[in-house]
Amino acid sequence: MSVIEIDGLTKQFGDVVAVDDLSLSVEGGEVFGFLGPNGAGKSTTINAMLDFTKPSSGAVRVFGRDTRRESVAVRQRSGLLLEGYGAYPRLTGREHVQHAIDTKDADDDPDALLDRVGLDEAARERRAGGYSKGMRQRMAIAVALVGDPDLLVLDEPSTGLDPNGARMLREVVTEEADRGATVFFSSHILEQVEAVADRIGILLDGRLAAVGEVEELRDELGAGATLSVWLSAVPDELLAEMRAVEGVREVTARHGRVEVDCDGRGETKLRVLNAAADAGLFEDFAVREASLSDVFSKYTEGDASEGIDGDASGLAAGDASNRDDGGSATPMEGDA
Amino acid sequence: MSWTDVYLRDLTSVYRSRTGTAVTAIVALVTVVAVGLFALAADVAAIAAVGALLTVGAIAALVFLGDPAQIAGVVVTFTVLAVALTLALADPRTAGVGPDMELAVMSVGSGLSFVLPLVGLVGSYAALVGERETGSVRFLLGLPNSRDDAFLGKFCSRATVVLVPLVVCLVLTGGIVAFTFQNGSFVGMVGLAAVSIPYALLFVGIGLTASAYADNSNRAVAVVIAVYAMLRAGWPAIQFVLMQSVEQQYPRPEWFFWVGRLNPLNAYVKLTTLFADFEYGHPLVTAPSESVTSAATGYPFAAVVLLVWTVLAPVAGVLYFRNRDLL
Repeated sequence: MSVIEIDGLTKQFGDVVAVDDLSLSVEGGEVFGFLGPNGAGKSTTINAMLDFTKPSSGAVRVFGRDTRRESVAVRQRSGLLLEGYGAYPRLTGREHVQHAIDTKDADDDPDALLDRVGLDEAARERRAGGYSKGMRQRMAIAVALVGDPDLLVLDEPSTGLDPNGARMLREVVTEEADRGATVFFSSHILEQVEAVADRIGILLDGRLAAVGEVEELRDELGAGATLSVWLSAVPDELLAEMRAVEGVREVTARHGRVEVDCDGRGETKLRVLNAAADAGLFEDFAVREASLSDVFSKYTEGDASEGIDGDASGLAAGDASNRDDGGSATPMEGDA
Repeated sequence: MSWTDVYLRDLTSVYRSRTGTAVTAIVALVTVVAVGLFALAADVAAIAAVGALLTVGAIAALVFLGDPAQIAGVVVTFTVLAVALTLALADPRTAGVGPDMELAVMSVGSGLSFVLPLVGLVGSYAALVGERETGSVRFLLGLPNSRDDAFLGKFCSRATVVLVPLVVCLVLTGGIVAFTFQNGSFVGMVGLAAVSIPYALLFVGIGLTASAYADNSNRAVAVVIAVYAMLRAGWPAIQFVLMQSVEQQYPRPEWFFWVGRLNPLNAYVKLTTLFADFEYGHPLVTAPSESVTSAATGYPFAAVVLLVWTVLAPVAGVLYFRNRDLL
């Protein structure tokens, strides 16, 4: 049974179409990754799902209930960690969790939940106004877990978390999924989503550009990987040899390092490395899986090679070109 | 009950901020402290000097201090100073002759007619829009609270913040009046509290409705100031503009009172005059001449006007809040 059913959701703010005729369903018990760059409409979709915002047209049903008319019933069974979430500055961490327990008529122990997210004893007794972003995020995760929700909605949940916090978050998501909860996880960072998600949907410019299982998408998009190889010298013949390897799209040399953009198959990477080793020049290597920026630029520019200069600039470029398109050409068409 | 969770949570936050203390301090100054000073010295000149000192202290505390305990400390200190100074300045010939009940009702009633809108509006204008600005609305309405729960819980908590000090202070004032004023009546002060409650709720309601309507707190402040200015200044201005077309200015015609007494500020002042003999009428409302016998100038009309305003203000807010976009 579908836990979330989004049916033709459109949301306009004045002239801006934030979400454009989006239809999507998330099945019970799955971890769904909702990917998209900033401004793609992820948070607007989530806001419509929780009745913070009214759809211009279309409808969202959660647990089979209309989210406009039966929003309280939906939220009774949901745990939320929303982007732009603010704490009450004069309440302590424990008071926040206790308040959520009281409101939901749950019987959780606030300390057990705070243990689980790793907010230490001293911090719980302090007012949230003095919390760091990471502490606030941990507290918010504890609040989301109150009452063993059937649906967890996490919007950019790793914002402000350190690596330990990010690991805790992954564990929590996995544990909740094992318990049987459905998890709706939105992020602009592919690595985070693919570490936990069963299925991924990519939102661009308010439209669902692609949806499917992680592997399926990666192959379909041909986003591939970037292989960095450090060499003692960089002869042109070796670069030519690498370019000739099947599955390699582009090779660029920079300061004794060669960046090889390839399809991401192990076979391809091994051949490239072998070429370097055979030439006797191999020193070290590193692999970077396709980041979302690569995927986005692939969608929006129809060429994966242009967006690989760096995550930030790639994202910005992807974003900008999205706007320039004005939505006239859908990315899917460009790719096909 | 979900709104009670909102209520308790919000009340905790307000009392940990300076708002609760500030409201208590302001209400106490215009009731207990003012009447207490009158009891110590009936001559108005001494009171005026002391009142100025007290005002400076209170404003300093409210503007410059952020901590509730510090505000309370400064206000209490200045009150003690004011009492000492009043005793020192008071004309010994007036000692033992208590002031009249009319003075108590007029000063407290007039004071509250200015101060209750202030504390009611300041205490509530940010209640909803502030949560949208800080993002805690995602907490408030991410939990299974309906929007009605959120509005009602906030209304009750902000009302508590104003009404508890108001009632406590007026009961204390009643004690002072009963013991030291000529024909002073404890029951009269309780009655004054009874008509002040809907008046205070009206401005909590207006502030909360502004908060539900506005998209940021600056806008909410603008709405609140506009509404207050309309009631305080705009309304009489309209009355006087309309009077320009009338040849004979006095006595005021009957319609003048039908327009004027629809204003909740006037309705409140009218109701406060129930609790003492006002020989020459109340200085804040136009007294009708003998020839005007309209229902508009009566107590029942004032009571109905005040109650209708008090109910409509928050209802308008909750109806708007139900259907608006929050994010």
